[in-house]
Amino acid sequence: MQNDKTRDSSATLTFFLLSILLIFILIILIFTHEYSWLVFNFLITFILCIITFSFLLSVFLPLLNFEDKLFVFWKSVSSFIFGNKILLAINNGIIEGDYLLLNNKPKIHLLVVNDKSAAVVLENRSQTNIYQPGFYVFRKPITVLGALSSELKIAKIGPENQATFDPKTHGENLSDYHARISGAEKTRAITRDGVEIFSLIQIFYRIDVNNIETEINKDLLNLFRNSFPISSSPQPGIVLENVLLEKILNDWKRTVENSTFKEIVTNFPGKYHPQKEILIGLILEVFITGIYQLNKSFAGLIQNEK
Amino acid sequence: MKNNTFTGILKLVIMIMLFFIIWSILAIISTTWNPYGPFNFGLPITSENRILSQSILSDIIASYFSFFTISHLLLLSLVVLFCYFLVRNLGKYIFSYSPYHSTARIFFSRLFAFNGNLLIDLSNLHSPNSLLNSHSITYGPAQVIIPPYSAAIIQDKNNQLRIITVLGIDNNPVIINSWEKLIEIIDIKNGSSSINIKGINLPFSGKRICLKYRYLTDKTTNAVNNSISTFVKVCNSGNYRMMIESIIQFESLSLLNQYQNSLNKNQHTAGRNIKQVGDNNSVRIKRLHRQFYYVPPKNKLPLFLTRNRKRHPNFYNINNKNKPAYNVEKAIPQDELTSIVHALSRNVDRTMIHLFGSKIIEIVDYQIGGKD
Repeated sequence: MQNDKTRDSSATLTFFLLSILLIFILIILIFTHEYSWLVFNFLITFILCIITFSFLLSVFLPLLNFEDKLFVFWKSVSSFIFGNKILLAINNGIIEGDYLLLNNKPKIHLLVVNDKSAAVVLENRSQTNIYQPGFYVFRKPITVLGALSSELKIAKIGPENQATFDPKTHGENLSDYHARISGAEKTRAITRDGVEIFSLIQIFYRIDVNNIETEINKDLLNLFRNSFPISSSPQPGIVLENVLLEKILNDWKRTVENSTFKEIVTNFPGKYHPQKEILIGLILEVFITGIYQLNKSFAGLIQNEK
Repeated sequence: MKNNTFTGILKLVIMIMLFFIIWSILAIISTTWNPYGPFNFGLPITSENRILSQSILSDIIASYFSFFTISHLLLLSLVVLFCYFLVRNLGKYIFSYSPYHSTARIFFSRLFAFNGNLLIDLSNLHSPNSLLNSHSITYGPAQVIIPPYSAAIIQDKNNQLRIITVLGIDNNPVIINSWEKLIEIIDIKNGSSSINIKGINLPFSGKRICLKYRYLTDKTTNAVNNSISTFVKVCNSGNYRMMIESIIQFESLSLLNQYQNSLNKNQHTAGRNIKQVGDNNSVRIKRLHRQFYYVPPKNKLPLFLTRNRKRHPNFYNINNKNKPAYNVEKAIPQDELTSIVHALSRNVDRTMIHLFGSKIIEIVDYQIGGKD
């Protein structure tokens, strides 16, 4: 929940005062030989702690059952005393803190997934599940593989216009120039009749985190798990999105390679339907909104060449 | 809200009463069993000549303020305080950061369900910023003034959503009850999307189609509620309007291209005639058509297109007597255009339901014409 550096000073002070007072009371009871009161005092304090914590926690989490509250209390106190992290929060598809960069990952028992996010969690060392927004209590520690954003996004791949292929201008930064050219180069494909084209592809997509039981999402989870060890990125969700977008791009290139130039310019601009196996865990719509050629002074849909 | 206030006061009274009951129990234990023995010193009330009432009162006070009672009361208070701090630390993770509320404020307002006198003015919320991204999630109880022509989406403790729409300039605040939170404010101004159909070999080529749409967020039935819940999960209020307009544009292009393909097939023979009819000017137009076809962002044309148009002012002039034979706008019946727009509306609905999980807009009007 918190480490030593971020431990709440008010809680520390209260805990210190509580301990002092409890010790003081126990000493008095020992002096007065009231050993039954001594045991009673311990018990009462402990039970009072549980009841109070349970009551106060229900203000924030009214739907949590008593057993879970008891577990949360136990873990909160141990986290407070030993300073280990037991809770992880995910906001906007991003895991808070440096959790993913840590070599020795803390044992997470409590998971908070906030709005528009989902967490990919490895349980029992083998089972991967997706958790949607909510507060989760895990009796056995879990490993969070990454976070996903459920928001709809738009990705634009390819040259914006014919000027994308222009030589570097005087005022242009070298890195900007390379970014411009390499962005366009990504969509380079050669049609069956040997015409080199570049496409402007606009993809609306979101990761389908709702139907976790479907085969599609099992594939997604496998993909996530396989890509996890190699991704040193702090956010594997972003890596995953790039992998999926790359697959769509490759699918489009295959379509171009299997079509003639005339077929391409006849059918597009328009909606493109990728192969079904590309749609792993994704809800998407793909539009091809421009076809360009490098060595001509025009770009886009060549209507009159149909 | 009045009920909430009453409940809040009642809870507070019960808690104060509970405190005094516990204090009294401790005082009774202190008098009856006296576990501290000689260490249980109390207040020094040792007057010898006391009347009975004074004696009783002094005994009561002595037991209430005895060392045993006070120490245990302090112990109890510290236990409550320590548990409160533990819960508050958890709350920091459970509740997203909000500049308007501390975790403590959320805690106490929920515990006592106090009426929110807190007035939050979000009327100047920048539309490109999502409520979530701008860290402005607002927890109840509070009163929020939202921008005109926008919808406030409020979530209760059972994750049910309700929507309050403000269709005009309205200074009446939206009331968010205790246990509720304002999760999104979306802009629901009626919008329009223009599609430039230059370069497509359609009868109305060279014109714009302007499609007007409205948002379907003013319905609050349960069916809509379910679809809205999906929409809220996927919607980023910062860019969803741009996305909707882009979807309309791309769907239009897709449909117009299909329409043109079908037209070309039907007029295959007529196409040959076009070549024969075409004079020098039509050949020139043909070449210029090769120049570029591009969906202009936000109805803005690229510079080189503007340049081309300046060079050839008659290029898009469909009334020019030398226009090519396939530019026969007058020959297109109105019902055909209407059917195209209806087909477009269906396609847009399908895409919206696929992407957003619900039909959130409705194309209400269209206009063809107006040269670029």
